Amino acid sequence: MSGVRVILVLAWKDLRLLLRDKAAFFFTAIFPLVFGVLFGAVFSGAAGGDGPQSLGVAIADLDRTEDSRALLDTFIADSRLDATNVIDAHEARELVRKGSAEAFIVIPAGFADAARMPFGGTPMRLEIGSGPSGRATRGLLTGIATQKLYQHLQSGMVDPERATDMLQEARRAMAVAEGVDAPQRLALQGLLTAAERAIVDMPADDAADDANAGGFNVVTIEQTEVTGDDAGDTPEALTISAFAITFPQAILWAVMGCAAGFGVSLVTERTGGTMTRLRVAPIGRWHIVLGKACACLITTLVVSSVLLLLAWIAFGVRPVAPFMLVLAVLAVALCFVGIMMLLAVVGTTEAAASGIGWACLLTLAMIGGGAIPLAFMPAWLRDIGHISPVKWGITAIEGGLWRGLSPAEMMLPIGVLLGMGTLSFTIGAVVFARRETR
Amino acid sequence: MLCLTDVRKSFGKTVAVDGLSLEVRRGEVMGLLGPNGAGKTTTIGMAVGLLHPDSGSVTLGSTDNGGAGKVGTPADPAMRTMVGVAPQEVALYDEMSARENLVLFSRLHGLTGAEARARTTELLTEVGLSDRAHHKVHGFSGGMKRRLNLACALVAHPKLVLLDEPTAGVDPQSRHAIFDIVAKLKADGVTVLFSTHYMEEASRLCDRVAIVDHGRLLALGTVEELIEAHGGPSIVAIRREGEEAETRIETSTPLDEVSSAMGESGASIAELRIEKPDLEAVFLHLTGKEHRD
Ligand SMILES: Nc1ncnc2c1ncn2[C@@H]1O[C@H](COP(=O)(O)OP(=O)(O)O)[C@@H](O)[C@H]1O
Ligand SMILES: [Mg+2]
Repeated sequence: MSGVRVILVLAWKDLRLLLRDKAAFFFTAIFPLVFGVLFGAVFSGAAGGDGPQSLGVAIADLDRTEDSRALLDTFIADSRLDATNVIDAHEARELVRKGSAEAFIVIPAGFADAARMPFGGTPMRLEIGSGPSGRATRGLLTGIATQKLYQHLQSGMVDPERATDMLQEARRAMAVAEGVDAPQRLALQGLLTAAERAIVDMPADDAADDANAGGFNVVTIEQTEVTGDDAGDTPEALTISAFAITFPQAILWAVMGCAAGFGVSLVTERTGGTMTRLRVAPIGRWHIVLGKACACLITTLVVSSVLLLLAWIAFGVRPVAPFMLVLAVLAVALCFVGIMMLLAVVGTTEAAASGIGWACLLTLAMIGGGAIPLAFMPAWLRDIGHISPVKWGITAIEGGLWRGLSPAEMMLPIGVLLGMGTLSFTIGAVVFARRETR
Repeated sequence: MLCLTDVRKSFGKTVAVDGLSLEVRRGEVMGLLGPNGAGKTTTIGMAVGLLHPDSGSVTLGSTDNGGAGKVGTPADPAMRTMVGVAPQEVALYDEMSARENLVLFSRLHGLTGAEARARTTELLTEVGLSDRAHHKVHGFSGGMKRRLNLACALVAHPKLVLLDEPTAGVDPQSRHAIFDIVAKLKADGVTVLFSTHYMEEASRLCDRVAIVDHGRLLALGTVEELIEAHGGPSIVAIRREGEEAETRIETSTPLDEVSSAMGESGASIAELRIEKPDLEAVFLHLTGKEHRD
């Protein structure tokens, strides 16, 4: 019989055993599905929740004035934010798209002019953007930004010189304004005079609220959603987007379930004696390993595809870069086939293999954003996450699913996944072969 | 058919097989008889390539009187196509049915799907499991598992069959079924090497018996030859009329002893018995009487 046939016969046997092993089936299929759906729903509903401890924000200052610089500094100083100053809006978007920042803020050119003429008709504008999961993030950031803008406005006004400037500019603007009739003009002049006297004492905390309550539109914040194809952010797209986060996580859970399940099954072959039979059969030792790897690969690909299809059909998570997504899923599957092989040799009993295996996998999942999205983690933990294949797997799948990373950008996560997979597989297979050769 | 030449195998400090040489001839049934820990399983493991001997060589196949002509080591998968093994520990997929197990191992031994199914049906009948064909193995009794374990060794019509304690822990019915299978293999000209520590099955089935202990071959020959050489004297037991106790005479010529006793006092003999040495006597003589487990 040809080598490929042997491998397929062995893989078919393993697939059948998997379907009959309720625990393994649960971890490879049911649990990930429940995870993706349940947490997707939870995150979608939690848009108004507390949000992250420290939000990674890329800030681009296009105005480059004293005013914009001051505003930038208040963002940087804010403990709720982990702000990075970037050159331009493009770079800011890129950081969000690649997942290095959760959101971006762009201070557009002309900000200082608007700030100095709060009543001059041109509102202070800010642009805030985040990924598709970031409705909550944008809401939070908008709140923070609004507060800062009014504080900035107020800081200008408490500076007597600037406040006077502002009011004088307002008077000038009013004088030349067209379509303002005499009574209106008089009323506004009265208002400005009152403002000149009163505004200096305005308590800081009330500033934002009062300004919002009044009819003046002195602050405009534009929200954008960053997706791969930069498609508009329809309300529908926003409500489903949490699933774009939880389904990649779910895929990683499924893949971990496969790796653990098949790794342990290789131990079971040894403890149950069937390895002896396979070894005395007229097949090579590498057929046994590849048969197991093949079963693991098929299972991970099937489960991943089902999860992605479900995410698309039931929750509208449409992949923005399907080809990249296929590559990503393939890389993740191959990586975890390697990890399966490693798990197969960490313990010599099923209990040990399963216990040690899951302990490692859970740790990798926790630090790799498999449970709590990376965005909600402290920075130091996010850095440690680099060692986790789960993190790279999620990055790669998100890259194809909604970040729309370019082939060049996909090289890193895919390369890391394949590297980790190859290394694990090699170590596992070598240890396995050594143990079986006595 | 199988030739072990001065093979040695140690596990750490334990010497499991210590310079054993053994040739199993084509078409013969050989018993590997030895107490627990004698090195039987290790020997069989080396014979099929599960274990690498530390030294010495293992050769499979034969060139004698027009045999297949192929000779090689068990490390070569092609050589293993003609070998069937039933490991000492039952080695089956518990979550698969008897039929699925047999089909799988048939396929791995190179049978096509159709061939595998046909052979499976045949073997299930042979080992009396046809009515349980679709039941999962984990519900089987010890005897049923043993029979299936044996059937799995026979999927590819092997020329050489190695059975490691095929009757360990089974009921008498299964044991006899297994005896019958071995007898049938012998009739079909299959070479069989099986390990056991049951004297009865060794003396009933084997053309030759190899007695091993401490990893060494202690004796090799037909049952008669072994008894002749290592059985010790026969015993003639005579009880005369009016006597309570019997007189036991150790002798290598029991018939002479009997006729002389008859001549002396033929009329007064109440009971007369000749106790010939058996394989057990040979075994105990060679391996001693102390406990092994
Ligand atoms: N895998 C192993 N590791 C360590 N010692 C072993 C191993 N296999 C067998 N032995 C030892 O080698 C000796 C021979 O064992 P074995 O071949 O199983 O004997 P038998 O099958 O005749 O009972 C025993 O002392 C046993 O403890
Ligand atoms: Mg044994």
